[in-house]
Amino acid sequence: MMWYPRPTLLAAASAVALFRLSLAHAAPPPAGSAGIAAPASGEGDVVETIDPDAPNQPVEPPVVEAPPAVPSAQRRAPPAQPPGAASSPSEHFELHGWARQSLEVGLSKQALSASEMDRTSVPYDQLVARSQLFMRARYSRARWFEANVSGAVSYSLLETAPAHADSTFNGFNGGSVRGVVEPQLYEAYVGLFSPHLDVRIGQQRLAWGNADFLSPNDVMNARDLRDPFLSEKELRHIPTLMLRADWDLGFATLQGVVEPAYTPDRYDVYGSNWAGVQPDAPVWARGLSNLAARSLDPTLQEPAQRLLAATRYPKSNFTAPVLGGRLSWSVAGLDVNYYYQYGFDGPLIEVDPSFAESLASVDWNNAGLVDLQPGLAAIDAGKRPLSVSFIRRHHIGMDLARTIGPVALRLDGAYQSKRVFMRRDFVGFVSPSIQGVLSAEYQTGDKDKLALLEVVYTHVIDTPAVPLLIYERDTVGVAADVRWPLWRALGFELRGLFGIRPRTAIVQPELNLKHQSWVVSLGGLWLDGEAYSLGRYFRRNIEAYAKVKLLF
Amino acid sequence: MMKKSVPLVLILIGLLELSTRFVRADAKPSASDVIAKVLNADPWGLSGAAVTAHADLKDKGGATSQLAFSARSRRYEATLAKSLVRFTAPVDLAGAGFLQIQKSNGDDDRFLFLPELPRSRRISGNLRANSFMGTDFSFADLDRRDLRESTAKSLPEATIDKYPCFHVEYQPSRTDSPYSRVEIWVRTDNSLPLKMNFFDRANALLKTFTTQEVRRVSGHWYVTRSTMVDRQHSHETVLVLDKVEPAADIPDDEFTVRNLEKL
Repeated sequence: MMWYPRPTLLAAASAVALFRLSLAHAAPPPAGSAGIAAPASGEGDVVETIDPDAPNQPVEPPVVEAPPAVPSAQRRAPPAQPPGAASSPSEHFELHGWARQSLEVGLSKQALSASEMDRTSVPYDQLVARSQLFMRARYSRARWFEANVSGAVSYSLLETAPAHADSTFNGFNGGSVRGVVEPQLYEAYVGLFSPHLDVRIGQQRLAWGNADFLSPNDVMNARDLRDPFLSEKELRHIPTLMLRADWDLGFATLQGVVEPAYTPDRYDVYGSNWAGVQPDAPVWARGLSNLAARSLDPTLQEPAQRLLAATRYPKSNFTAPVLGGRLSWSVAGLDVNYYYQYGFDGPLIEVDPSFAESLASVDWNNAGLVDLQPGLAAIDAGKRPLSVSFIRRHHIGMDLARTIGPVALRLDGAYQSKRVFMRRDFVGFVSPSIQGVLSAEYQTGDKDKLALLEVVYTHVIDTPAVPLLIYERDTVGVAADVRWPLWRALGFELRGLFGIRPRTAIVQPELNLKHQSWVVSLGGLWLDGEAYSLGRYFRRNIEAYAKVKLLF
Repeated sequence: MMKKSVPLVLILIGLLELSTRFVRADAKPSASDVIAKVLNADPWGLSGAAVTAHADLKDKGGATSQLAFSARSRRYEATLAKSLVRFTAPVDLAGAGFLQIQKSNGDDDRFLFLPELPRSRRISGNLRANSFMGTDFSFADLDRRDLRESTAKSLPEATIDKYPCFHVEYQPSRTDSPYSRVEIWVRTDNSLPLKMNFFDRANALLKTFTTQEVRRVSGHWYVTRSTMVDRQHSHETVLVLDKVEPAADIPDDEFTVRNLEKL
């Protein structure tokens, strides 16, 4: 056995290493070498242009000793930032938004009974023109700070149907015209981020759940229900003042939310097309609303909606907060979220039986404020003849999402310990409820080319004494949204809800023409169904509409 | 005896090293080696880089539109990367984000964040044949899975505008690939693809990719201007990397759904 002393072996290894190094320097792999050269490193930046139309010529295998070819098109590039500089992104600022003009023409005719002499009729806006401007600004600094502000201002011009039910609406013969200006601050919050903890504080939108048409777990923000089908997605929820923290646990993300005060859904009680009081509402509700509206100056009608909407909001002095938590993780392509919220539901309308009895005896066509005397006397006596309140409840939910082939499957489920429903007699009903939505979305990678199908199920656990409005004990429906390009910039969207129990249908077809930043849409909304179903109750909202939207 | 042997051994080792070097340089790399080099070269800055880019789209009628985005990526395994793309144009996509985490087994994880919702949603990993945001690049072109999972063969070498290229044809192994085969011309010196012909499942020419500009930034070569032409629909996309920086140290926690929802 041959033995070399250690220094000799070291010297041999060093000699080999030096030899390799010298070879590498003496004969760098030339451009055009058949061998694959490692990319040059540590050299100045270079730009080369290539003529792709140059013919492909088979070549002889190049000789390794050939001198490196210096392309004629090679030039020095401006020096780049050192590697790694990109790992610290600096400041970003975005300002985006849209301006929209819409025109809706109602296709329903006032019922014959809804003449000016019928004091139980419900006002109907046959023409609605809305101008809206929405802007969102986002600013971020490095990876630790972000600020978001968004807001909208809108002007709505509403023209009621002709005073005479037998007159044909021509756009100028409406019973009355009113204009509403509405500036709204949407989001206004700041975020402070660290690698494992994100904190956001301010007025913000927090979307929980996966479902699109009806999302059982999307409960952290109030909804704006005043224009549920034509409003833009950004405006369908009302951002809420909250403190939100997201903690990265490694295997999952834990989110905690505190809302110091509850914000209820926004809706109109009376006077607008999607208001709660519709032609199928009980006579006392229509008559009472009509009387209240007649007693108000028309300019006060809009602010009066808030007074009509609620008499007892939860306290906003930090003693009635809304608390929420979410735990999210993904495993093997399956996304799982668990939700809990300790919040409120409502509005719960309660009518004192004696007051209800007195209302039933009122001749609304000849009623005046004096007819409300029994109710006012009851208020003076410390009673609540008609109250609207919000109740505490627990919300427990979960959702699952995964993709199978080109289809995204989602399941959303929620249990609420108390949920407020409306009975057909316009009195609230409280019951625990279960809601589930199973969604299948065929995706193409293009957000304007997809097909979504959702099966919606709601179970009201307790049995109401009087049938419910919109819901049955077991309500089942199918919602769909299909967006598809037709020809070049012309696309089609069909949204629909088909109730199986109760039977109802809401269909909204729309044609969209996109050109650069402009979108022009023409569409229609059609609703119907069995009595007291969603489509039937709001049936008078059958309409045609046009929208022009400019994105920026 | 020992003293005489040491120089002899050194000489032998040196000769051996010299011979192997010449043999190695003269040897033509196999087709799969070429493909591996293309993957490793990361021509578009999709694994370990920060990129600001735009794509000009032109349709058959000459109508044009633009997609603009910034992308950050991290290579987390030899040929697998995580990338996060934020769009700034067109205006209906501005603010949207796209997170992709490549997987060696199973579909890639893909999430899309749309600010108007605003939430992130998992989108199908099986959209490989579909266009990426209206461009002529498909999801398959971006995930490079067809390069990773393919069988390749060498074709006669060629030059493109004086640049000697390896010419390789590879056949994607996955059945969800939109391509039956792809011809690729790869520069011999920096492993950048200068041209690619994509053939559809019926073996008809579907798309052609050509490189017009390459740039060496901090020692790393990138394809900074390229064109993908859809031959069957007369549509083309010019992809320009306005700014690209190699960045191997982008933190792993940037590539999370939590981060996707930030600006």
